[in-house]
This record gives sequence, C-alpha cells and structure tokens, in this order.
Amino acid sequence: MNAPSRGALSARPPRLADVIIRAVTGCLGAGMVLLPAGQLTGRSWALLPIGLALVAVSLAGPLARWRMVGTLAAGTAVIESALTRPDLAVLAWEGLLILGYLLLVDAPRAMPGTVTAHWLWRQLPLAAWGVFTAAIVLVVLAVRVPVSAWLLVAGAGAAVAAVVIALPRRPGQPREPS
Amino acid sequence: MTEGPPAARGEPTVPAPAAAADPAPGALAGPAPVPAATQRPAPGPVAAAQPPVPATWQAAPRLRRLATIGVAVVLVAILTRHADLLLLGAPALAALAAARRGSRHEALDAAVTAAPARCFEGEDVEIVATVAAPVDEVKFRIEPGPAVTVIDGPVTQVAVAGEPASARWVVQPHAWGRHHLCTVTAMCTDGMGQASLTLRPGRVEVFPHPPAVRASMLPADLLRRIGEHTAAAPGAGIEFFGIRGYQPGDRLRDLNWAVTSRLGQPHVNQRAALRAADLVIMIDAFSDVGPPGDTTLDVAVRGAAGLATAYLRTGDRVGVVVLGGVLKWLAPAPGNRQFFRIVEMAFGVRFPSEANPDLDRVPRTALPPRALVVLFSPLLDRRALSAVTDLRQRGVSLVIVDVLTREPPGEPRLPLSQLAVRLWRLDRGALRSSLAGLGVPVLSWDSGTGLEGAQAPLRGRRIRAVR
Repeated sequence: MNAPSRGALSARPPRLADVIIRAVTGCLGAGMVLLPAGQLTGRSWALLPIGLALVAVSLAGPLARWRMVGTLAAGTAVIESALTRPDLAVLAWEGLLILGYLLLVDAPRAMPGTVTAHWLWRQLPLAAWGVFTAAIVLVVLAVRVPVSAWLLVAGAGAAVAAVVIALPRRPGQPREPS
Repeated sequence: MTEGPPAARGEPTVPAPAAAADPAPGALAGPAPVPAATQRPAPGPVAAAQPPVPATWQAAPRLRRLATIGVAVVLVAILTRHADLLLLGAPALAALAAARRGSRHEALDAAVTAAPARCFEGEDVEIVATVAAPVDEVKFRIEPGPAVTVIDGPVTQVAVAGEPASARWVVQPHAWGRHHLCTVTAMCTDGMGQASLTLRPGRVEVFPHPPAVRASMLPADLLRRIGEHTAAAPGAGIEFFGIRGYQPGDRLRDLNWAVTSRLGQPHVNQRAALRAADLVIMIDAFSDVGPPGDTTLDVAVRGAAGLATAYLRTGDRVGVVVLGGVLKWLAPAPGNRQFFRIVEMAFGVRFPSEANPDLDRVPRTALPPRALVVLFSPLLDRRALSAVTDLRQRGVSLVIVDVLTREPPGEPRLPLSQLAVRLWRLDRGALRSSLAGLGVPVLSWDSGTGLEGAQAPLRGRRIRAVR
C-alpha cells in the first residue's frame, strides 16, 4: 500500500482567473521594462533582458516564491528611467505601470473567479490613489513656480502637520467612576 | 522492562469505541470482506479545536515592496538631482500611505478540525480550517503528513474579506496510527501587516486496513472448546471422520447402509468434532524499516489486524504480544471488541528501545500452551530471534511471517555494492533455512497482496509445536 507521491498535488491545472491575472501582471511588468528601453544606449541595453527575465521569473518558476524578484524587476525599470530620463508623461506612465505590477504580483495563486474579482476590487482604492498622486505630481512638476520663501515655509509647515497627523496617538486613560 | 495489559496492571482500561461492541451472533457468520460493517470504528468526536492562536505580526511583502521602490526612487532623484524621477515612485508611495495599517490582534481565533477522528487506512478525512478574525485576506496552505494524500481541494486556498475565511480539504491517510494528518498554514494579511499561523488538527486514530484472509492456519492440537475448526477427533460436526460399528445410542440417520449391507453388521458414519483455537499474534516492533506508510511495522500490524479479524469472525480467541521497547500483551479473548483492543495496543508500539524482551514474564493466560503463535517480523533484530527460541521452549505452535520484502538498495557506482547485496541475500536465505530446519514455517508477505496467498504453503497442514 504505497502512498501516492506528493507530486500529484502540484499537477492541478491552473485556474483561468489565475492565468489572466498572471498575464496582466506580465504585460504590466513587460511594459514598465520596455517603456523607457527605446532610449537605452551602449551597455545599458543589458538592463532590458535582465528586467524581462526578472518579470518572467516573478510570475512562474521555482524562484517566484522569492519576493525580492518582483522588487528587483521594478528596480530595473527605475534604473532604466534614471539612465534615459524620458519625458514627464512617460515617467508618469512608468510610475503607474510599476505600481500596477507591484500590486498584481502579490496576487495569491489558485484563486477562484469570484475571489479573484473580490481581491481585485479591494486593490482599486490603492490604484486610484496612485493615479491621483501621479496626476498631482505631474502637474506640480509641469508648472514652473518661481522660488519663494513663503512657499518654502508653507511646504515645511505642511510636512510638519502631516507628521503630527500621522503619528500614532496614545489612547486616553479611562476615568475612575466617582 | 515488561508491562502487562492495563487491566492486569490495575490501570483503567481504555473504553472501546461504541461500534466495537460485540454484535449479534448472526453478524459473525459469513465471509464478509474486511473491514466488516460491524467492525467499523466509531466516528468519534471531531478532533478538538485549538484556542485562539497568538499571532506575530510583521510587515506584509507588499509594504516592503512599495516602500523599497519608493525610497529607491527618492534616492535616485536626489543623487541624480532630477526631480522628475519622483513621478516613478509617487504612485507607490501614495498607495503605501493610503493602505490601512490593519487591526493587528494579538491572538486570532483560528482552528482546524479533522473529521472523523477515527477511520481506517484509505478512508476520507475532512480537514476544515477557519479563521474567524476580521482580516483582509487569508491564504491557507495544507502540508500533508507522511503517507497522507490530499484527494480533494487545492493545496492553497484564499479567502478575502467579506467571505467566510475557511478552507476545506479531503485527505486520505495511508498509514495506521494515532497522528496529526496535516499542518495548515494560515497567512493572514490585514492592511499592511501579515501574520502566519500554524494550525494542526487533533490526532486522528487511523486503524489498519485488514487484508483479506481466512482462518486456515491451525495448530495440531485444538482446544476442547466448541468452535468452527474441524478437529482430528470424532465429534458432532459436519465433516466425515470415519466408520465404526454400531453401538447402542447411535442415531439411525448415521447408519452407513453400503458398509452395513456389505459386512452384514450395522456400521455408522462418524463426524469430525468442531473445535476452537487460540491465536496469539506477535508483533516484532524492534525493527521498522521502509518508506512511510509501508514500513515493516506497518505491514506487520496490518497483517495482525487481518488475522485477528479472520479468527475473531470464526469465534476463536485472539491475543497479541508486542515485542518492542516495552513488552506488552493482551490475553486471548473472543469478540469484535478484541479487534479494537489489539489495534489500540498496536498504536503505541512505534518507539525505539534497546531493552530485551523476556517472554517468561508473559503470563500463561496471555500465551496459552496450545495456542497458535504467528510472529510478524522482518527478522532483522536478534532479540526477535531469541524470542523465537523462547517460544520453542514453551512448546507452542509457531509460524513466522516475514514482512521484509525489500532488499537494501545497491549503489551501482560502488563495485562491492552488488556483492554486499548478494551476501545479504545469502544471509537471509540461511536464516530462513535454519528456522525451517527447526520446524518453524516461515512465510513471506507483502501488504500489497492478500494474506491468503502467503498462507498457501501451509494449506491443509496443521502446525505442530516445535521443541
């Protein structure tokens, strides 16, 4: 009475929703690597196959469980952009592609269709915040503002206020009943 | 170090499962395949659930990724003095800021259950894992134990907030024993925090699946008790035994008319008596070699369960002696309840020991002189062979079932490896020949086949006591 081999466990065919998620993630990853690649020169061309390979490895294969692979793929895209210095619009698209790739590469495997839809719905606020922020930064960088001391003070004040708001607060002590 | 049955030591005995009670007499008759419906273990309570599990929260991988990319972009922008590059990291940092921190409870209400808590080998056991705490996402992953197969349900299952966080699998254990069938890892993600919980269901009692076998091995001298085995003495049985002259009191229906007319004197047919037998099963637990679920001890206990089922069905008394670190025994007794007593005793045999068993400590009631003793052994440990010597001195009818059917793996790259395997084969052959020379039949049996075939060399032969 031999026990069946454990290999039978991994022989299940992948779900359609899982395949779609992986395909979309691959497209986003390939896009973030390929978008700035047109202006690569010389040895920096080596970043292109490295980035694509990292994207592919992060989606399937034995190294996919190593979470650093996805981060390295996104880091490759950042280095490409730093080397090529594309336009603001291209940079904004690149940032959104990186965000989309980083959000989807975390998707759990083997989710049923309804669970996948629910999971994607829960990622929507993060993506929306990313788009909103990219638009604001794009506008801020596109508009040339003259150097002003008042603007500097306002920015510093906003930063301090943000830190004060974000700091965790100590819960108040309950009062003793009199 | 010796040890008797719990009752003999004055300890409370383990109550047998409810379904193990003796059935109606009619239930014992008939060649029903094993395990018979009357011998199914009671399902038992669902394995106990765990209390809230302490959770150690740490940063989720997504938080690390987004933060790493955001910080890297800011550094690159500063080092290259190119503020436009901030556009690369701004969406990631915004998503990081927008994400919830998560409620990070110190303990999460999580549990995993296994039902039923008692089953036979190869039967389905349902594993259900649940996390009742409100978290964003739970990823369940089952890690089956050795000789356990997941037959239903994906290995990894995901539940997101708004759905009941539970996962279900159906597993099949292929090794008897009282053990945890699996380990379930629940990876809980809440906001940007993540906690990994390791859950184990309660122990499940997996009974050995008895192989198909009939009670055909019998000692030469049967007991004076009425049973179902044909004895070598006249009595009130069914099978023809002989012819003798008519004596007052004989029934007329027993008259053999052909002989009577030929000899001119009335003669009657004699019938063989039906007697019972005592079977003592010995399990050699000194050696346990082989792959999980198919070790020599697994095979031995399966064979013991098969023989016990067959002989108990015919109304015989069956006992067991476990030759292991602690010498344990169970005096022969009839009834299906005895099957479960034997198996429950076998649950505790799997531990290593260097102690030598002293069969003299086994009381006469546990090892009756005219009992048939069947020793399941891989014949690897000299202590088991010395036990054979002890049994010879007691004058019992002994049969050895060799449960070692695998040869040691040879290493083709080593020139002397094949020679070593050949020497090992010769050694085994010599051992079996010496046992056969002593008058002890040695049968070979692999659990992949029925025990019936292994008994074929002894068919129609009564086993005599060896001295």
